[in-house]
Order: sequence, then structure tokens, then C-alpha cells
Amino acid sequence: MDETVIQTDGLTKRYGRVVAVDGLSLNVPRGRIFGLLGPNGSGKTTLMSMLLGLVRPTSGSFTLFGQPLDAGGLDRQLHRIGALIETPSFYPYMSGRNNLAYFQGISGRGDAAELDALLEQVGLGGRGGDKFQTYSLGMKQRLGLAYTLLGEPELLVLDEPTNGMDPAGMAEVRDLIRSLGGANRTVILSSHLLNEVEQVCDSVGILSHGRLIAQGDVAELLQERGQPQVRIRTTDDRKAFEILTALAWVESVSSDNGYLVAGVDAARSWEITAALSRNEVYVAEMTAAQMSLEQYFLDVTDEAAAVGEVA
Amino acid sequence: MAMVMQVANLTRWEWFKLRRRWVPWIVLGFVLIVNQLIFWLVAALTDDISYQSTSENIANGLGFSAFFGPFIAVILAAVVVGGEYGWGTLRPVLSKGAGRWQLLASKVSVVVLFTAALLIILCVTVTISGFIAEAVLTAPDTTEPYGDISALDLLALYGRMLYAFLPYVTLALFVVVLTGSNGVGVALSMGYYIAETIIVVPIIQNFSWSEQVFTYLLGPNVSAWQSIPPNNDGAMATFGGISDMAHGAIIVTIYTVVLAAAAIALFMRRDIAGAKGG
Repeated sequence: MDETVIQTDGLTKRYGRVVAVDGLSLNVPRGRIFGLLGPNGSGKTTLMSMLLGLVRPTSGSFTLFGQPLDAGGLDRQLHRIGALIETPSFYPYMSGRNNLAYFQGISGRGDAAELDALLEQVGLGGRGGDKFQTYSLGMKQRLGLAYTLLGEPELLVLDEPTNGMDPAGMAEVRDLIRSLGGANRTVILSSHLLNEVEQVCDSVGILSHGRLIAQGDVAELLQERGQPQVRIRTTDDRKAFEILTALAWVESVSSDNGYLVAGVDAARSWEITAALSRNEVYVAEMTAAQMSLEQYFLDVTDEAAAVGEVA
Repeated sequence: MAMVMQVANLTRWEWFKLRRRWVPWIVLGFVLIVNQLIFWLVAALTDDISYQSTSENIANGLGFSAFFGPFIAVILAAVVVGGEYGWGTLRPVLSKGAGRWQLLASKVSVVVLFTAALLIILCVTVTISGFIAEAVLTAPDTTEPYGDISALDLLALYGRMLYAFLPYVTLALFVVVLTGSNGVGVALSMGYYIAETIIVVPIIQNFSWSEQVFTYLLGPNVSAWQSIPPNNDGAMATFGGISDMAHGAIIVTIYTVVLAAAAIALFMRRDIAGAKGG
């Protein structure tokens, strides 16, 4: 069985003088939930559109399911993919169920029972007969998810799937995506919500100005880059800041949302407590902190921007 | 064979969508109403229709559709293709592996099939109206517009009518693919049809040099190709005799093939964006 679902090699897309995707080489292994991150205009949607044959690459190549894409080959592979790019777009004059029936019909796979099951799965069981134009944005997103699941695809490509949903709906969809990934199915998830990606994805690729600036397992990336940190709240934070800054083995000290964040391994917590108490400052709360994906994302995109400016 | 089956399947599902829209039924209703109004107006004014045969009535219906057919074909083609741009539904359709040229082929097919059915409905209603007129009106028959027309002639005429609509379908297809708008598609395609109809005759009548140019325009050749009824030698003399049936058929085919090829080539190369609205 092919282990790489998507492999791109120097994939590039230019719109006139604007380079939307710049020589991108990416590997997405089978069975992973892969997060695609990047600021607005970083090339995420263009990349996804190229993989689906909606946008023609200017140069470079890619394979899907290990198969080179000859003429007509992409259309055959698309039957194995469920994709939702940007806002869900369906026929407004048809019901949600009829929209699904149409897409099921043109792909030539599935039956009526599948439609009912999918509508139930995405929480539209009672509204499948209503016209698409009467749906809220959240309901449209749900129908979009049902559309992507038609024909039990091996690869899901989801672009901002929780956009417009209420918090409960977002949590539901996150659970759904988590349940969909793994085993033989791969999910590519693009989202601005880094917390969402951190909760759902096994690995990520970060795009900036059309270039892939980081790729790997979420835990490994954070571990590689993130220095150990301890978050502390004390009886006198101002004095504690001065004391910690003076300690040679504390690499950094900063304030964050009512906490002091000290760059030190959590194993040395007792030494921090001792140092502070010697100066009559007492610890009210202390936790070991890991770098968040959001911090990581901001760091690497800032660095990429700085390099771009210098270049 | 697999590609033919794919286009057939896509056509079936295009019909699934089309029959749920208002536009085709509004077009059908409008054409039927106008057709009946004209029929009864002529019947009331002349009393001639009362003695026309069934085949003449059918030919009448087809003759009527010769004028309205291109409008119907253009509107349907523009609506069927343009809607996808307006709603941004090309993305989900193509993402399901529909295939670009196969999708366009299925859209042309569904427009042609709907127009074909509409022609039959027109002929049936005109024929029924003819029977009613014959029962109601009693004035003597003074004209014999088409003479005796065989069923084979009618079938051939029906086929020629449909074939003559193809360049208008592909014209609308090309304009919509070029502009991504069904409104522009309808406006430009109809504008072309009307401009040709209005401009050609007076120019030919006044400038002899223009005959060579207009020999290759669409309108005169479509008229030549679908003229009613054929003369004994099969020649169609219209617009000052600039085109005969064979010439008309060739020009109609060239327009159809060139416009369809241009539309497909453009559609195959273009990037597909999201919804454009209207």
C-alpha cells in the first residue's frame, strides 16, 4: 500500500508577478490528520486547489496516492478524495439532500441510505429537505462536510471547515474530524484557528508567502523549538521578576497574562521557590508550560517575514 | 465508451438540476403562450388556418420555433453553464472528478434535449390548435403555404431545426466560459442573433459587395439550412439567394465546431475560482 498520499515537487503557481505558491515540496503520509497553516494569502487555498485540479500549476508536479497524474488521471483519483475549498458552494434552489444526491450521482458511487446517514452524521437530519439557500453559514458548512464524505473517500481536504459555526458546532466538527482521520483515511485541514489545529492534527505544514517554512509532527516541532518554561504567580510579581532575572540559570523572564514566564526546566522549580522565598516572595502558583502551536506559528512566520525582508 | 457513459450520466444529472429550476419552465410557458397567441391571431384575421393539414400545422409549429429556437437555446445554455459560475459550484462539481470537457458536453446535451422536447410540445400544441380552428372556423381555404409535406420531410425539418440551434448553444457556451457570467452570455449571444437578423437584410439590399461577407455569417446560413419547406431540388433560397442548404449546413457546422472547441479549450485551461454572483 502506498504510504505517501500527497507528494509535491517544486510546485509553483504564479498570478502575473505574484507568486502564490513558491517551489513547494510537501509529503503527506497516509492515515494522518495534517494541518495546513499560514497567514492569509500564504498560498494554502491555492495549494489545495492545485491538488484538486482546479488551478493549474505554473511549474512543478505532484502525485496523489503515489500515482503520477497523466491526462485524465486526476479525475480518476478525485473519486478517492472529498474536498471542501473555502465557503461551501451548492445549488441554492435545491434541498441539502438533493444537492448531495446530485454529487453522489455524478461520482457514480453510493445510495440513498448513504445520504440519510451523512445528513444525520453532520447534524442536518431534520433539515435535509430544506433548500440550501435557507441554511445558515454553519449549516452550509455541515452540508459541505457531508459532501466531502460522499463515497467514503480516502483523503479529505478541508479548508476552514468550522468557519461560521458556533462554539458547540466547532467542537462537534473537531470531534468528527478526529474520528475521521487515522487508519486508511488521511485528512488535510486548513484553519486559522491554531488551537483547533493543535487539538486535531498529528502533523502540520506551515506556509508563508507561498513557501513551506516548517513541516513535521506537532509534538516534535514544539519540542524541538520550544525551550522549557515555567509559569509562576507570586505574592509580588515585580520583585519576583527582578530576582529571576538576576539568576544566571534562568534563560529568560517575561510577563504573560498575569503570569511570569521563566525560561527554565521544570525540574528546577524547587530552586525557583527557594530563591524567591529567600527574598520574602512566595509562590502562589507554578506550572510547567509547553510552547503552544500559536507561539510556534508566530515565531516561525515572523522569522520567515524577517528573512524575506532582508532578502 | 467509458467517456460516453460518463457524459450520459452527467447529462442525466444535469437534467436532475435543470428540472428543479424555474427558468426552463418559464421559457416553455412563455413560448407556448406566444405561439398560441400568434396562431389564434392569424386564425382570427385570415381564417386560412382552418383548412391546413396536420403536417402543415406541424410545419407551422416548427416554423415558429425557427425564430424562437435560438432565443431558447441561448437562454438555456447561458443559464445552465452560467449558474455554475455564479454560485461557485464548479469547484465541488469538478472536485468530484466530473471532468471538464465531459461536464460541458453534458450541459450542451441537456440543452439540446430540452429544446428538442420543447419543439415537439410546440408542434403538438399547434396541431391541436389547428384541429380546434378547423372545427371553429368555416371560411374557405385560400392559400396553400407548404403544399403536401410527408412525415419524412417533417422529421428532416425537425432535425435541421435542432441542428441549426447548435451554433447558438455553443456561442452562448463560449461567451459564458469567457466571461463567467450567464447575464453577459445571454446578452451577447442574443445581441449577435438580433443584430444579424436586423442588419443583414437591409445591408444586402443596399450594398451588393456585402453579399460575399454575409454568405459566411451565421444568421443567413441558419435560415437557409432550416427554410420551410424545401424546394424540389433541395435548394434554400433566402436572403437574396446567398446561401443554399448545403452551404448553410457547412457554415452551421463550422460555427458549431469552432465555438465549441474554443469554449472547451478555454474551459480546460482556466483556473476555477469561487462564486462570482449573478
